[in-house]
Amino acid sequence: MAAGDIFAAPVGSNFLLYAPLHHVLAFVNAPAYRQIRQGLQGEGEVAPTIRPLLSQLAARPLPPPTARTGPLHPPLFLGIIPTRGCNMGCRYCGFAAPKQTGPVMSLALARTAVDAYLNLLTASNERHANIHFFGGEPFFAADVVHFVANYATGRAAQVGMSVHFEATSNGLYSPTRCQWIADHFHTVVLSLDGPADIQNSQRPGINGQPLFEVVARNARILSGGSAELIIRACVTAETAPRLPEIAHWIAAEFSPRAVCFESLTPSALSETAGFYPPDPWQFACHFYQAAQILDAAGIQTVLSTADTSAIRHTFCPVGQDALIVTPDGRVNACYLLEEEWQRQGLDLRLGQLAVGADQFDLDITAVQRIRQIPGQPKPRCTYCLCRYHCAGGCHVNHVGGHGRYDDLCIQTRLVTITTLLAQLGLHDVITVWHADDRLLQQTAWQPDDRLLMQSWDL
Amino acid sequence: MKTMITPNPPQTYFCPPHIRWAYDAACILVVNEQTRQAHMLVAEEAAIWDWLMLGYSYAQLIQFIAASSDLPTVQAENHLRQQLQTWQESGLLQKVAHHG
Repeated sequence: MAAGDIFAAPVGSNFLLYAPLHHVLAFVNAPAYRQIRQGLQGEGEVAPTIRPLLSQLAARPLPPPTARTGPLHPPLFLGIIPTRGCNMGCRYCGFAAPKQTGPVMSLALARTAVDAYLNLLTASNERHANIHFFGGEPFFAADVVHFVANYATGRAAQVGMSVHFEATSNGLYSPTRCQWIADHFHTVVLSLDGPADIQNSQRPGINGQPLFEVVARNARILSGGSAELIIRACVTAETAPRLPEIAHWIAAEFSPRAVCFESLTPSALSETAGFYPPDPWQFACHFYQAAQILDAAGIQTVLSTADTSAIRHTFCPVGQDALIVTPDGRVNACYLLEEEWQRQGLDLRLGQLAVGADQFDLDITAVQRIRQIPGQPKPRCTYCLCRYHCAGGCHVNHVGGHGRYDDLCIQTRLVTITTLLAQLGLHDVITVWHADDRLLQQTAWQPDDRLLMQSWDL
Repeated sequence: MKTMITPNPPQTYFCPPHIRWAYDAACILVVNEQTRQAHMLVAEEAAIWDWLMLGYSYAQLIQFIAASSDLPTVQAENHLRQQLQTWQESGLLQKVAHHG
């Protein structure tokens, strides 16, 4: 029997059994763990209480998520980058783009992008369009966003389609503009790192001026609008211990659907500013405390690499045929800057779009090649229980490691296991486990999570 | 209440306070609270109304219309003039009297 997708993680003297392709999540003691292992190998006696679980594990699993194949339709979404420019001076931002002078997408190119995208959807009988805005800061070129929102809505209506608009934004604009966003957008991912001292320290204006009040005011406007608000907070070594405090503050002040706590991605800029990624062990424990607080307020807490809500082949849009159009008409699979992929030896360019064209000029070889990128598993992911939801993380920024878990892996593994234990209601187990550094280390560093490949001396 | 200026000759319009509007999924509903008349704006009409209420200038509106309808700017301007005229006649916009 091929049971390489049944994972077990030691938690103290017990085991978390996790087999997402079998829809199995269980917490078992050592004798049950031993019986399940033996049962899967067709050996030994199995207690009646274990048999239902064993038969579920022995049943044919879901097929593992695989790369897309065939022609490019439908794309995951149309990404529009109105500008790479930005009106904030975040001190850790590794986006090596010219801040205030980035080129702006022409209205003609924006119109062409919408037309070509809707043509693709129409050809595959899709009834729903997804348009995402990225930057820089997309609303730093607000006229492009205002144009696209109205143009795409009208064009889609002509062909009986609805459009979902999403934007990732820094929240620096007037209340009027913010209200417009709340009225027209379906999802807004707002970067807000915490209360005033944190936000002003990490995300000041271009000249270093504090902008917390503006962003917090807009978070309140978005909380009251029809757009789904997701708050994204960048967590540093300094702010990780404050995650519970940040969670309390968010729950008291705003009404997001979810809060996304993501570790700082280190860069030369962030190090110069004195910001470092959090300690992964500390992050995992504080993340759980914050999640408890937010959960009590009906708010979901997310770490993107530890989101077990779906199994996936790739962590991000790369490999899912998202078409992300830059201000100068390049069509990419990733919204990061080209220099960043190239630094990692990647080419994520799909093609280009000429003003007035009725379709994207895509290199189908590039489409096929990029679809395969997530399928080239990193050595450290092969036997990790997170492989079907983390999927290796960012293809650009989470690289190297030579088979050994790095800090992001440890963080992802600990938060994943904590989240799964919480789903089982085992909060007392989590408390004891988190309090014992030796137990955490034992769980996190297990090199092979596959149940049948383990050799615990029980 | 929003205002805008149209050149040649200069003309200022404003949206009187008894005009209210609300966004729906695929239209904008504009209501005249004095007359109890409702206007449902769809497609390009809705787009122009939205851009107008965002405070864009006459010149910028022409650019938006030219881009969205793929029209030369002269035709886009004619189209905008007609639209403003229609909204003025139905009471959704009012002209500001210019003196001197």
